Amino acid sequence: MSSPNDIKKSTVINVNGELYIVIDFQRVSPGKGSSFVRTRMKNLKTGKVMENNFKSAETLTFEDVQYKRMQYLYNDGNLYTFMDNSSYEQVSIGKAEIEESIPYLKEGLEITVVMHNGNPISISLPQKIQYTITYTEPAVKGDTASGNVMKEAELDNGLKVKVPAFINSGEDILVNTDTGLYTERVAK
Amino acid sequence: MEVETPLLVASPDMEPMLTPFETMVTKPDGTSYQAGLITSPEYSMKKLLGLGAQKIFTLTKVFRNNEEFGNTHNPEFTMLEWYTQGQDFHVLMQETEDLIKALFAAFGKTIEPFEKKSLASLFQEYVGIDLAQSGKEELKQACEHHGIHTDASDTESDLFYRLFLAKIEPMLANKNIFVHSYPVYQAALSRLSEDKKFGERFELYFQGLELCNGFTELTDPVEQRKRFEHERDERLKLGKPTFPIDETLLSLLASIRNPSFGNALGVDRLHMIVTNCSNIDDVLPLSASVLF
Repeated sequence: MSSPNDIKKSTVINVNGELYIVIDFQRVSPGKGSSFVRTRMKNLKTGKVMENNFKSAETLTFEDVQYKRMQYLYNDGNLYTFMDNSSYEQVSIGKAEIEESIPYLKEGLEITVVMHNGNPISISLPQKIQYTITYTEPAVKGDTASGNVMKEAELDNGLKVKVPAFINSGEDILVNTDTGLYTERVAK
Repeated sequence: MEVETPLLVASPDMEPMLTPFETMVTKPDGTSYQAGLITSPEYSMKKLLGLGAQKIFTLTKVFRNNEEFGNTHNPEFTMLEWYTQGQDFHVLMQETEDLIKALFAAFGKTIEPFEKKSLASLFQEYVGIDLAQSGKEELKQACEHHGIHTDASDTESDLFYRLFLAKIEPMLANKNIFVHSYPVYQAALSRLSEDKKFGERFELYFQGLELCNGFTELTDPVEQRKRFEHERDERLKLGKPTFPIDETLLSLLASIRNPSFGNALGVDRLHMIVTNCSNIDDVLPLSASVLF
Protein backbone atom coordinates (compact mmCIF):
# COMPACT_ATOMS: atom_id res chain seq x y z
CA MET A 1 0.00 0.00 0.00
CA SER A 2 1.43 3.37 -0.99
CA SER A 3 0.53 7.02 -0.81
CA PRO A 4 -0.01 9.32 -3.81
CA ASN A 5 2.65 11.54 -2.20
CA ASP A 6 5.22 8.89 -3.17
CA ILE A 7 4.34 9.05 -6.89
CA LYS A 8 7.34 9.71 -9.09
CA LYS A 9 7.95 9.58 -12.79
CA SER A 10 7.94 5.92 -13.93
CA THR A 11 6.06 4.71 -10.85
CA VAL A 12 3.78 1.85 -11.95
CA ILE A 13 0.32 1.97 -10.38
CA ASN A 14 -2.22 -0.83 -10.34
CA VAL A 15 -5.73 0.61 -10.72
CA ASN A 16 -8.41 -2.11 -10.64
CA GLY A 17 -6.02 -4.65 -12.12
CA GLU A 18 -4.78 -2.42 -14.94
CA LEU A 19 -1.20 -1.18 -14.90
CA TYR A 20 -0.32 2.44 -15.56
CA ILE A 21 3.08 4.09 -15.70
CA VAL A 22 3.36 7.68 -14.50
CA ILE A 23 4.52 10.06 -17.22
CA ASP A 24 4.12 13.28 -15.30
CA PHE A 25 2.69 14.42 -12.00
CA GLN A 26 2.04 17.64 -10.15
CA ARG A 27 0.85 18.37 -6.65
CA VAL A 28 -2.15 20.66 -6.54
CA SER A 29 -4.05 22.04 -3.60
CA PRO A 30 -7.33 23.88 -3.54
CA GLY A 31 -6.25 26.54 -0.99
CA LYS A 32 -8.53 24.90 1.55
CA GLY A 33 -8.83 21.19 2.23
CA SER A 34 -6.90 18.14 1.04
CA SER A 35 -4.17 18.35 -1.54
CA PHE A 36 -4.16 16.18 -4.64
CA VAL A 37 -1.63 14.71 -7.02
CA ARG A 38 -2.56 15.33 -10.62
CA THR A 39 -1.15 12.38 -12.54
CA ARG A 40 -0.71 11.81 -16.25
CA MET A 41 -0.26 8.10 -16.79
CA LYS A 42 -0.09 5.61 -19.62
CA ASN A 43 -1.97 2.32 -19.65
CA LEU A 44 0.75 -0.27 -20.20
CA LYS A 45 -1.55 -2.55 -22.18
CA THR A 46 -3.48 -0.15 -24.39
CA GLY A 47 -0.94 2.69 -24.54
CA LYS A 48 -3.74 5.14 -23.82
CA VAL A 49 -2.69 8.20 -21.82
CA MET A 50 -5.12 9.46 -19.21
CA GLU A 51 -5.22 11.94 -16.39
CA ASN A 52 -6.16 10.88 -12.89
CA ASN A 53 -6.26 12.92 -9.71
CA PHE A 54 -5.41 11.17 -6.46
CA LYS A 55 -6.07 12.67 -3.05
CA SER A 56 -2.99 12.65 -0.81
CA ALA A 57 -4.80 10.59 1.83
CA GLU A 58 -5.77 7.78 -0.58
CA THR A 59 -3.99 4.45 -0.61
CA LEU A 60 -2.69 3.13 -3.91
CA THR A 61 -1.09 -0.10 -5.03
CA PHE A 62 2.30 0.40 -6.64
CA GLU A 63 3.68 -2.46 -8.69
CA ASP A 64 7.09 -3.78 -7.85
CA VAL A 65 9.40 -2.55 -10.59
CA GLN A 66 13.17 -2.56 -10.95
CA TYR A 67 15.19 0.29 -12.33
CA LYS A 68 18.34 -0.58 -14.28
CA ARG A 69 21.01 1.84 -15.43
CA MET A 70 21.66 1.09 -19.09
CA GLN A 71 23.26 2.62 -22.14
CA TYR A 72 21.47 3.34 -25.42
CA LEU A 73 22.99 1.27 -28.23
CA TYR A 74 20.97 1.56 -31.43
CA ASN A 75 17.54 1.42 -33.00
CA ASP A 76 16.45 -1.05 -35.59
CA GLY A 77 13.19 0.08 -37.13
CA ASN A 78 10.63 -0.30 -34.41
CA LEU A 79 12.93 -1.52 -31.64
CA TYR A 80 15.30 0.45 -29.42
CA THR A 81 18.11 -1.50 -27.78
CA PHE A 82 19.87 -0.74 -24.49
CA MET A 83 22.71 -2.49 -22.66
CA ASP A 84 23.65 -2.97 -19.01
CA ASN A 85 27.34 -2.02 -18.91
CA SER A 86 28.23 -4.34 -16.05
CA SER A 87 26.43 -7.51 -17.14
CA TYR A 88 26.36 -6.80 -20.90
CA GLU A 89 22.69 -7.81 -20.80
CA GLN A 90 20.74 -6.23 -23.66
CA VAL A 91 17.05 -5.32 -23.77
CA SER A 92 14.87 -4.00 -26.59
CA ILE A 93 11.81 -1.80 -26.20
CA GLY A 94 9.19 -0.88 -28.79
CA LYS A 95 8.93 2.63 -30.21
CA ALA A 96 5.43 3.19 -28.78
CA GLU A 97 6.63 2.53 -25.20
CA ILE A 98 9.25 5.28 -25.25
CA GLU A 99 7.86 7.70 -27.81
CA GLU A 100 8.34 10.86 -25.70
CA SER A 101 11.99 9.99 -25.01
CA ILE A 102 13.13 9.16 -28.53
CA PRO A 103 14.11 12.70 -29.66
CA TYR A 104 16.60 12.89 -26.75
CA LEU A 105 18.38 9.57 -27.33
CA LYS A 106 21.94 9.48 -28.57
CA GLU A 107 24.42 6.67 -28.77
CA GLY A 108 26.01 5.89 -25.43
CA LEU A 109 23.48 7.88 -23.40
CA GLU A 110 22.91 6.52 -19.89
CA ILE A 111 19.26 6.10 -19.06
CA THR A 112 17.15 4.07 -16.64
CA VAL A 113 15.15 1.12 -17.91
CA VAL A 114 11.99 0.29 -15.96
CA MET A 115 11.60 -3.49 -15.61
CA HIS A 116 8.39 -5.24 -14.56
CA ASN A 117 8.34 -9.05 -14.09
CA GLY A 118 11.59 -9.26 -16.00
CA ASN A 119 10.27 -7.27 -18.99
CA PRO A 120 11.44 -3.79 -19.98
CA ILE A 121 8.36 -1.55 -20.04
CA SER A 122 9.70 1.97 -20.29
CA ILE A 123 12.75 4.19 -19.86
CA SER A 124 13.38 7.36 -17.93
CA LEU A 125 15.81 10.02 -19.09
CA PRO A 126 18.21 12.10 -17.01
CA GLN A 127 16.71 15.52 -16.28
CA LYS A 128 19.50 17.25 -18.22
CA ILE A 129 21.46 15.82 -21.11
CA GLN A 130 24.66 17.19 -22.61
CA TYR A 131 24.89 17.61 -26.38
CA THR A 132 27.42 19.12 -28.77
CA ILE A 133 26.18 21.70 -31.24
CA THR A 134 26.91 20.54 -34.77
CA TYR A 135 25.56 23.64 -36.47
CA THR A 136 24.24 27.06 -35.60
CA GLU A 137 24.50 30.40 -37.42
CA PRO A 138 27.39 32.51 -36.13
CA ALA A 139 26.29 35.34 -33.83
CA VAL A 140 25.55 38.58 -35.64
CA LYS A 141 27.44 41.48 -34.13
CA GLY A 142 25.16 43.69 -32.06
CA ASP A 143 22.59 40.97 -31.44
CA THR A 144 24.17 39.84 -28.20
CA ALA A 145 23.84 43.23 -26.51
CA SER A 146 20.06 43.13 -26.32
CA GLY A 147 19.97 40.01 -24.13
CA ASN A 148 17.39 37.34 -24.84
CA VAL A 149 18.05 36.72 -28.54
CA MET A 150 17.64 33.05 -29.40
CA LYS A 151 18.55 31.14 -32.56
CA GLU A 152 18.19 27.58 -33.76
CA ALA A 153 20.94 25.03 -33.20
CA GLU A 154 21.28 21.46 -34.42
CA LEU A 155 22.72 18.98 -31.93
CA ASP A 156 24.88 15.90 -32.37
CA ASN A 157 21.84 13.57 -32.29
CA GLY A 158 19.83 15.63 -34.79
CA LEU A 159 17.65 17.34 -32.16
CA LYS A 160 16.98 21.03 -32.79
CA VAL A 161 16.70 23.53 -29.93
CA LYS A 162 16.77 27.29 -29.47
CA VAL A 163 19.97 28.60 -27.89
CA PRO A 164 21.15 32.12 -26.94
CA ALA A 165 22.86 34.06 -29.72
CA PHE A 166 26.32 33.92 -28.09
CA ILE A 167 26.60 30.12 -28.38
CA ASN A 168 28.68 28.74 -31.25
CA SER A 169 28.99 25.52 -33.25
CA GLY A 170 31.17 22.94 -31.52
CA GLU A 171 30.17 24.04 -28.02
CA ASP A 172 28.47 21.77 -25.48
CA ILE A 173 25.13 22.63 -23.92
CA LEU A 174 22.62 21.07 -21.52
CA VAL A 175 19.01 20.46 -22.55
CA ASN A 176 16.24 19.94 -20.00
CA THR A 177 14.31 16.82 -20.97
CA ASP A 178 11.19 17.90 -19.05
CA THR A 179 10.77 21.08 -21.05
CA GLY A 180 12.83 20.37 -24.16
CA LEU A 181 14.60 23.70 -23.65
CA TYR A 182 18.25 24.79 -23.54
CA THR A 183 19.38 25.38 -19.95
CA GLU A 184 23.08 26.24 -19.94
CA ARG A 185 26.44 26.15 -21.70
CA VAL A 186 28.99 23.59 -20.49
CA ALA A 187 32.55 24.80 -19.98
CA LYS A 188 35.05 22.61 -21.82
CA MET B 1 0.02 52.74 3.02
CA GLU B 2 2.92 50.34 2.63
CA VAL B 3 3.64 48.28 5.74
CA GLU B 4 6.31 45.79 6.74
CA THR B 5 5.32 42.67 8.60
CA PRO B 6 7.50 40.21 10.56
CA LEU B 7 8.75 37.08 8.79
CA LEU B 8 9.57 35.28 12.03
CA VAL B 9 6.49 34.77 14.22
CA ALA B 10 5.16 32.59 17.04
CA SER B 11 2.18 31.27 15.10
CA PRO B 12 2.87 31.16 11.36
CA ASP B 13 -0.17 29.29 10.06
CA MET B 14 -2.95 26.94 11.16
CA GLU B 15 -3.98 25.75 7.67
CA PRO B 16 -3.77 21.94 7.83
CA MET B 17 -2.25 21.44 4.38
CA LEU B 18 0.62 23.90 4.73
CA THR B 19 4.00 23.12 6.26
CA PRO B 20 5.70 26.19 7.73
CA PHE B 21 9.46 26.23 8.34
CA GLU B 22 9.97 25.86 12.07
CA THR B 23 12.66 27.19 14.35
CA MET B 24 13.28 28.38 17.94
CA VAL B 25 13.86 31.90 19.17
CA THR B 26 16.23 32.01 22.15
CA LYS B 27 17.02 34.92 24.46
CA PRO B 28 20.52 35.36 26.00
CA ASP B 29 19.16 34.08 29.33
CA GLY B 30 18.27 30.80 27.63
CA THR B 31 14.49 31.28 27.45
CA SER B 32 13.28 29.69 24.22
CA TYR B 33 10.14 30.14 22.15
CA GLN B 34 8.64 28.01 19.40
CA ALA B 35 8.65 30.01 16.17
CA GLY B 36 8.17 29.70 12.44
CA LEU B 37 8.51 31.62 9.19
CA ILE B 38 5.31 33.07 7.77
CA THR B 39 3.50 31.29 4.94
CA SER B 40 1.61 34.54 4.34
CA PRO B 41 1.59 37.97 6.05
CA GLU B 42 -2.18 37.64 6.59
CA TYR B 43 -2.26 37.44 10.40
CA SER B 44 0.01 40.48 10.78
CA MET B 45 -1.91 42.44 8.15
CA LYS B 46 -5.19 41.80 9.96
CA LYS B 47 -3.66 42.90 13.26
CA LEU B 48 -2.68 46.20 11.63
CA LEU B 49 -6.27 46.61 10.38
CA GLY B 50 -7.51 45.94 13.92
CA LEU B 51 -5.13 48.62 15.20
CA GLY B 52 -6.80 51.12 12.87
CA ALA B 53 -4.98 51.00 9.51
CA GLN B 54 -7.56 51.43 6.69
CA LYS B 55 -5.80 50.63 3.40
CA ILE B 56 -2.53 48.73 3.54
CA PHE B 57 -0.24 46.71 1.30
CA THR B 58 2.95 44.76 1.76
CA LEU B 59 5.40 43.15 -0.62
CA THR B 60 7.08 40.39 1.35
CA LYS B 61 8.90 37.09 1.19
CA VAL B 62 6.88 34.09 2.40
CA PHE B 63 8.04 30.54 3.03
CA ARG B 64 6.40 27.15 2.54
CA ASN B 65 8.07 23.83 3.13
CA ASN B 66 7.09 20.67 1.28
CA GLU B 67 6.64 22.50 -2.03
CA GLU B 68 7.85 21.46 -5.45
CA PHE B 69 11.06 22.94 -6.83
CA GLY B 70 10.35 24.72 -10.11
CA ASN B 71 7.39 24.88 -12.48
CA THR B 72 5.03 27.13 -10.53
CA HIS B 73 6.50 26.63 -7.04
CA ASN B 74 9.51 27.61 -4.95
CA PRO B 75 9.78 27.15 -1.15
CA GLU B 76 10.47 30.89 -0.76
CA PHE B 77 8.55 33.37 -2.88
CA THR B 78 7.27 36.94 -2.98
CA MET B 79 3.71 37.82 -2.07
CA LEU B 80 1.81 41.06 -2.55
CA GLU B 81 -0.99 41.36 -0.02
CA TRP B 82 -3.39 44.25 0.24
CA TYR B 83 -6.42 45.02 2.42
CA THR B 84 -9.09 47.72 2.52
CA GLN B 85 -11.67 48.30 5.23
CA GLY B 86 -15.25 49.08 4.23
CA GLN B 87 -15.11 47.38 0.79
CA ASP B 88 -16.06 43.89 -0.39
CA PHE B 89 -14.57 41.40 -2.86
CA HIS B 90 -16.36 42.88 -5.90
CA VAL B 91 -14.34 46.08 -5.50
CA LEU B 92 -11.26 43.93 -4.96
CA MET B 93 -11.71 42.06 -8.26
CA GLN B 94 -11.83 45.41 -10.07
CA GLU B 95 -8.71 46.66 -8.27
CA THR B 96 -6.87 43.44 -9.10
CA GLU B 97 -7.75 43.75 -12.78
CA ASP B 98 -6.66 47.41 -12.83
CA LEU B 99 -3.36 46.54 -11.17
CA ILE B 100 -2.51 43.80 -13.67
CA LYS B 101 -3.54 45.97 -16.62
CA ALA B 102 -1.30 48.78 -15.36
CA LEU B 103 1.60 46.36 -15.06
CA PHE B 104 1.08 45.08 -18.61
CA ALA B 105 0.87 48.69 -19.83
CA ALA B 106 4.23 49.40 -18.18
CA PHE B 107 5.64 46.57 -20.34
CA GLY B 108 3.93 48.04 -23.41
CA LYS B 109 1.37 45.21 -23.52
CA THR B 110 -2.41 45.21 -23.47
CA ILE B 111 -4.77 42.46 -22.28
CA GLU B 112 -8.41 41.63 -22.84
CA PRO B 113 -10.95 42.46 -20.10
CA PHE B 114 -11.17 39.71 -17.50
CA GLU B 115 -14.15 37.38 -17.29
CA LYS B 116 -15.99 36.77 -14.02
CA LYS B 117 -17.88 33.57 -13.22
CA SER B 118 -19.26 32.07 -10.03
CA LEU B 119 -18.52 28.46 -9.16
CA ALA B 120 -22.27 27.81 -9.33
CA SER B 121 -22.43 28.93 -12.97
CA LEU B 122 -19.24 27.02 -13.90
CA PHE B 123 -20.63 23.83 -12.34
CA GLN B 124 -23.91 24.36 -14.20
CA GLU B 125 -22.05 24.83 -17.46
CA TYR B 126 -19.33 22.14 -17.32
CA VAL B 127 -20.57 19.59 -14.79
CA GLY B 128 -24.30 20.01 -15.29
CA ILE B 129 -25.33 20.25 -11.63
CA ASP B 130 -26.78 22.91 -9.35
CA LEU B 131 -23.98 23.46 -6.86
CA ALA B 132 -26.20 25.23 -4.31
CA GLN B 133 -28.40 22.13 -4.08
CA SER B 134 -25.59 19.56 -4.22
CA GLY B 135 -24.44 17.74 -1.12
CA LYS B 136 -21.96 14.90 -0.86
CA GLU B 137 -24.26 12.37 -2.55
CA GLU B 138 -24.98 14.58 -5.60
CA LEU B 139 -21.29 15.44 -6.01
CA LYS B 140 -20.36 11.76 -5.84
CA GLN B 141 -22.97 10.91 -8.48
CA ALA B 142 -21.62 13.66 -10.72
CA CYS B 143 -18.10 12.19 -10.40
CA GLU B 144 -19.42 8.75 -11.36
CA HIS B 145 -21.37 10.22 -14.25
CA HIS B 146 -18.22 11.86 -15.65
CA GLY B 147 -16.01 8.82 -15.02
CA ILE B 148 -13.94 10.57 -12.36
CA HIS B 149 -12.05 8.42 -9.89
CA THR B 150 -13.21 8.82 -6.24
CA ASP B 151 -12.12 7.37 -2.93
CA ALA B 152 -14.16 6.10 0.03
CA SER B 153 -12.58 8.72 2.29
CA ASP B 154 -13.70 11.66 0.12
CA THR B 155 -15.41 14.58 1.86
CA GLU B 156 -17.80 17.00 0.19
CA SER B 157 -14.85 19.32 -0.34
CA ASP B 158 -12.73 16.56 -1.96
CA LEU B 159 -15.50 15.61 -4.38
CA PHE B 160 -16.02 19.26 -5.29
CA TYR B 161 -12.32 19.62 -6.02
CA ARG B 162 -12.19 16.41 -8.08
CA LEU B 163 -14.94 17.80 -10.33
CA PHE B 164 -13.24 21.18 -10.47
CA LEU B 165 -9.85 19.67 -11.45
CA ALA B 166 -11.25 17.37 -14.09
CA LYS B 167 -14.08 19.37 -15.66
CA ILE B 168 -13.52 23.06 -14.93
CA GLU B 169 -9.84 23.90 -14.55
CA PRO B 170 -8.94 22.66 -18.07
CA MET B 171 -11.60 25.05 -19.43
CA LEU B 172 -9.83 28.01 -17.80
CA ALA B 173 -6.49 27.39 -19.52
CA ASN B 174 -6.69 30.16 -22.12
CA LYS B 175 -8.68 32.70 -20.18
CA ASN B 176 -8.18 35.52 -17.73
CA ILE B 177 -11.01 34.80 -15.38
CA PHE B 178 -12.10 35.50 -11.81
CA VAL B 179 -13.67 32.37 -10.37
CA HIS B 180 -15.72 33.46 -7.38
CA SER B 181 -18.19 32.53 -4.63
CA TYR B 182 -16.84 29.21 -3.37
CA PRO B 183 -18.91 26.65 -1.45
CA VAL B 184 -18.61 27.20 2.30
CA TYR B 185 -16.26 24.20 2.76
CA GLN B 186 -13.77 25.86 0.37
CA ALA B 187 -13.85 29.34 1.83
CA ALA B 188 -12.84 29.10 5.47
CA LEU B 189 -11.55 32.67 5.91
CA SER B 190 -14.29 34.51 4.12
CA ARG B 191 -17.59 36.16 4.88
CA LEU B 192 -20.64 34.14 3.79
CA SER B 193 -23.11 35.19 1.11
CA GLU B 194 -26.64 36.12 2.20
CA ASP B 195 -28.04 32.64 1.58
CA LYS B 196 -25.10 31.22 3.63
CA LYS B 197 -24.29 28.72 0.87
CA PHE B 198 -21.23 30.39 -0.57
CA GLY B 199 -18.22 32.19 0.82
CA GLU B 200 -17.05 35.49 -0.68
CA ARG B 201 -13.76 34.19 -2.01
CA PHE B 202 -12.30 34.45 -5.51
CA GLU B 203 -9.30 33.16 -7.40
CA LEU B 204 -7.87 34.72 -10.51
CA TYR B 205 -6.85 32.21 -13.18
CA PHE B 206 -4.59 33.92 -15.65
CA GLN B 207 -4.02 31.72 -18.72
CA GLY B 208 -4.56 28.73 -16.45
CA LEU B 209 -2.18 29.89 -13.70
CA GLU B 210 -3.61 30.61 -10.23
CA LEU B 211 -2.45 34.12 -9.58
CA CYS B 212 -4.26 35.29 -6.47
CA ASN B 213 -6.76 34.44 -3.82
CA GLY B 214 -9.04 37.20 -2.46
CA PHE B 215 -11.70 37.38 0.20
CA THR B 216 -14.28 39.50 1.85
CA GLU B 217 -12.65 38.72 5.17
CA LEU B 218 -14.25 37.02 8.10
CA THR B 219 -14.23 39.53 10.98
CA ASP B 220 -16.17 37.54 13.60
CA PRO B 221 -13.70 36.50 16.35
CA VAL B 222 -15.99 33.77 17.73
CA GLU B 223 -16.34 32.08 14.34
CA GLN B 224 -12.62 32.61 13.65
CA ARG B 225 -11.68 30.90 16.93
CA LYS B 226 -13.87 27.93 15.99
CA ARG B 227 -12.14 27.65 12.62
CA PHE B 228 -8.66 27.93 14.18
CA GLU B 229 -9.52 25.20 16.68
CA HIS B 230 -10.86 23.04 13.89
CA GLU B 231 -7.69 23.57 11.85
CA ARG B 232 -5.51 22.78 14.86
CA ASP B 233 -7.42 19.51 15.38
CA GLU B 234 -6.93 18.68 11.69
CA ARG B 235 -3.18 19.26 12.05
CA LEU B 236 -3.07 16.98 15.10
CA LYS B 237 -4.97 14.29 13.20
CA LEU B 238 -2.50 14.52 10.32
CA GLY B 239 0.40 14.26 12.79
CA LYS B 240 1.62 17.74 11.89
CA PRO B 241 3.12 20.18 14.42
CA THR B 242 0.67 22.73 15.76
CA PHE B 243 1.15 26.34 16.75
CA PRO B 244 -0.61 28.32 19.49
CA ILE B 245 -3.78 30.15 18.43
CA ASP B 246 -2.89 33.79 17.82
CA GLU B 247 -4.81 35.49 20.63
CA THR B 248 -3.64 38.99 19.64
CA LEU B 249 -5.17 38.45 16.21
CA LEU B 250 -8.46 37.25 17.67
CA SER B 251 -8.69 40.21 20.06
CA LEU B 252 -8.04 42.71 17.25
CA LEU B 253 -10.38 41.06 14.73
CA ALA B 254 -13.47 42.61 16.33
CA SER B 255 -12.14 46.11 15.54
CA ILE B 256 -12.05 45.44 11.78
CA ARG B 257 -15.02 46.80 9.83
CA ASN B 258 -17.36 44.48 7.95
CA PRO B 259 -16.94 44.26 4.99
CA SER B 260 -13.18 44.42 4.53
CA PHE B 261 -11.28 42.76 1.71
CA GLY B 262 -7.88 41.16 1.45
CA ASN B 263 -5.96 39.75 -1.49
CA ALA B 264 -2.79 37.66 -1.77
CA LEU B 265 -1.04 37.72 -5.14
CA GLY B 266 2.01 35.65 -6.13
CA VAL B 267 4.46 38.20 -7.51
CA ASP B 268 6.85 35.67 -9.09
CA ARG B 269 3.96 34.17 -11.04
CA LEU B 270 2.92 37.64 -12.18
CA HIS B 271 6.53 38.18 -13.27
CA MET B 272 6.35 34.89 -15.26
CA ILE B 273 3.18 35.98 -17.00
CA VAL B 274 4.30 39.44 -18.00
CA THR B 275 7.65 38.14 -19.31
CA ASN B 276 6.14 35.04 -20.98
CA CYS B 277 8.09 32.51 -18.92
CA SER B 278 6.58 29.12 -18.20
CA ASN B 279 8.82 28.13 -15.28
CA ILE B 280 9.28 30.07 -12.04
CA ASP B 281 13.00 29.21 -12.21
CA ASP B 282 13.22 31.48 -15.27
CA VAL B 283 12.37 34.52 -13.15
CA LEU B 284 14.33 33.35 -10.07
CA PRO B 285 17.97 32.87 -11.16
CA LEU B 286 18.81 31.54 -7.68
CA SER B 287 15.76 29.37 -7.17
CA ALA B 288 15.66 26.31 -4.92
CA SER B 289 16.40 24.09 -7.95
CA VAL B 290 19.78 25.84 -8.19
CA LEU B 291 20.47 26.20 -4.46
CA PHE B 292 19.67 22.68 -3.24
